[in-house]
Amino acid sequence: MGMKLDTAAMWKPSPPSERELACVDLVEAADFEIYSKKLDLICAEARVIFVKMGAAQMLQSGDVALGIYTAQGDLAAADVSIYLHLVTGQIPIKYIIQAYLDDSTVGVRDGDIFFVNEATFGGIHNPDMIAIMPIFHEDELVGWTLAALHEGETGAVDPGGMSVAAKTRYEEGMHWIPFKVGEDYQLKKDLVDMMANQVRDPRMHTIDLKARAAACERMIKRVREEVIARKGVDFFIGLMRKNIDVAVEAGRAMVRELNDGVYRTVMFLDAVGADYGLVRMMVTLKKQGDEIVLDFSGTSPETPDGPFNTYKHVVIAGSALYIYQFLFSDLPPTAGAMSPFEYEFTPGSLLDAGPDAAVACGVLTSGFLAFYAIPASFAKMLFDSRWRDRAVASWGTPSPPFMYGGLNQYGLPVAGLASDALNTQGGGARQDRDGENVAGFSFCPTGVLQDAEFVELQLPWFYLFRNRFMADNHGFGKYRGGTGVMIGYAPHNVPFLVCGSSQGGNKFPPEKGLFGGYAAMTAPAVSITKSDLPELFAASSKKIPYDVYEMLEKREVQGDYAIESMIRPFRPVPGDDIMLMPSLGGSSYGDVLERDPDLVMADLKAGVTTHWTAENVYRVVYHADTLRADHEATARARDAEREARKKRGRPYAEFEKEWLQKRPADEIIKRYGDWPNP
Amino acid sequence: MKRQITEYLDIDLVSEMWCCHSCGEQLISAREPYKKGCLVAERDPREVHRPVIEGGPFTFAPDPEWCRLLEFYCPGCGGMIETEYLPPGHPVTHDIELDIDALKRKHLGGDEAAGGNG
Repeated sequence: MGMKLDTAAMWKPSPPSERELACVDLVEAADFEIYSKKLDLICAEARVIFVKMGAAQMLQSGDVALGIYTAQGDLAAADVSIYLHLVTGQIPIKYIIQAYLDDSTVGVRDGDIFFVNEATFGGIHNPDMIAIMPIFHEDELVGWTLAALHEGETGAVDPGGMSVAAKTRYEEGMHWIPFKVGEDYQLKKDLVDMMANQVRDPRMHTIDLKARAAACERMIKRVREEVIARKGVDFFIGLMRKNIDVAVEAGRAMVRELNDGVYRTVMFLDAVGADYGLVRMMVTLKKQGDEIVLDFSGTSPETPDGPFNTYKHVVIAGSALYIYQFLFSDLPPTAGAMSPFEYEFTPGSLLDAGPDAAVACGVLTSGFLAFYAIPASFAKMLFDSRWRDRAVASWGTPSPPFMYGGLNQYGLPVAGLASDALNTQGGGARQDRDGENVAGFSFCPTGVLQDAEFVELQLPWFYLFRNRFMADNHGFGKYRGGTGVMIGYAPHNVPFLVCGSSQGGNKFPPEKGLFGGYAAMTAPAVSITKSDLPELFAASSKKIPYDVYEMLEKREVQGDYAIESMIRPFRPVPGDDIMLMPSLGGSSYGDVLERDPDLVMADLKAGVTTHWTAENVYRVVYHADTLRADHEATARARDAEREARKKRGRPYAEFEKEWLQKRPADEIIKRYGDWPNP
Repeated sequence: MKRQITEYLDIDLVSEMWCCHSCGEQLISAREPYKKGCLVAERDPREVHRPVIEGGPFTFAPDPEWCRLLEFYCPGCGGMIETEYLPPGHPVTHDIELDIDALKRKHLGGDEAAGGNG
């Protein structure tokens, strides 16, 4: 067992210090508007520095986190980025303050660079690596800066940082609790080399470590130049505190207006690692007055031999993804926004794992909660309020990352995680609109899909395709979810790569629709081994497919086809193999029979929806040659379907009596805990 | 006086009843789960999510041995009030349990804190 840190309440805003109380009144309203925005822009500038300097694909996609914290370690300003890391980032900062600030062997001085990736000390999982630097004014510690990034390589038993085969933390690679990797604005070469020696891709690891430090340093420089030099250090301290206090006050005022009550959502995952098995996660929102308790009891037990476990501070930060991105999207993204919320967990559950647990893939479980269960419960609270427009169906939940390791086309060692499937997820539908197609990474609204040629220049594969919508992979409804894509990877200019992936949602849709909408597709992965693709390319053949459906239907690429789980333990993939990974579609909103038939026709034209779904789910009557809807015939078809529903449906008591006698096979619920309530 | 609680559900604060927002059908007491006032159909999810591949463990559609689709209809108009994807036999979720007394105080008692959509 490693060191154990009690993170309880470390994510909550600290009470204001006497220094902060003395400074906060110095910040007048007009200056607050100008300088709070200036702090955001300082973080945004650091993001540009970070992205341009880095090497990891997640970094080059912009899937990063940058924040400024108070001297006490409370989040005070942030770039619009991965809020997950910004919330948990408070934990290692507060640990450094508690453990090292007054320790004569460590201390905290101007120019220090701290590094942390230990999940139990405020990381999410150990691929998420964080640099932290203090902001000093003369001899006074007045704040902190933080830059975080999912590195995609940890020196675990498998490359890519998220080993689906790991059974304990000791198979997941390096676990660094906060330590000083640099002093006086310089990284220490011996420590940098020591860290690089732990991983398969030392070049990427070292470049990205320098990029993190540079991003932190840029924020310190700008804070000094643009805030402290212009308005004084007292103003800076007061500004950060006010940014927190405003979020506390406005957040609680909003919560106070929402309907009191209890709101429940249950969700299921169909895997716990390399093995299958149904597990349940449950969230119960108990809202009263200006407080909301998120209770996760009723969740399945920790899996002792798989990496889908997670820690409660990760779930709390997962909820912050929804809170910052949607619920409080107009408030400063600071520690204050978390003020109205309390959390309850069952120790030993999947979401409150023990210290030896494997957790590298746990961000998937917490991610599913963040993007389905928590938004679904809040939507039912928000609908009867003036914030109805924030009732949003689930985005495509975290798509399966394609992970790889080997030598690239230049003979250099590479290992990492491809971000294509993450940055092409479909958005969730709302009361007045469809979800965006290929909206992006639900964790990071500002991340982008990298240019294909740019990736192919650096890494040893080419994209067979990734630029056509994957029809029907979203949820169907009055407003449909956004659609994702299927991405085809083919190792190129190398004998082979070692590849794997990990994701649930192969047999059971983890996300569901909102208010009568349907869930998104359970999209598995596909592979073709021993293919003739190299020969087809050499001949510039027209048989080369453009999307997965064409590939599966026509099968003009010869080879052994396998429709397989998105959970793929690592295996060598030779240059004539093809691996396909889906990006997942968003969920829907409302009754399918209320969807405008003309929108269904537009979806058909765009390749977003199939004819089968238009006819059998949306019940649209249309002319197949012109794709024009017959509105009168459609109305008649839909009336007939509503009558069919009334015949199909049974009174609840009659239904429940028979329903509760059913039960999945024992093999399916072997990981579940006590049935039906773990 | 009615409050619209979801896309397809109202609560009549005077009669304390869940009602269909589309047709006005009274479903059940607002102090009960609204789903108990609906018609319920258990469906094979493949009826909505068409398998791309027939046979094999993964078909691009939910596996009916693992997952069933429940549809909750208004008995008056046949509108789809809600859906749930559950393992066979898993209890239906009591998803909205409002504090009805607080809701009545908020809207019938003149509480100026009322938000809402009229």
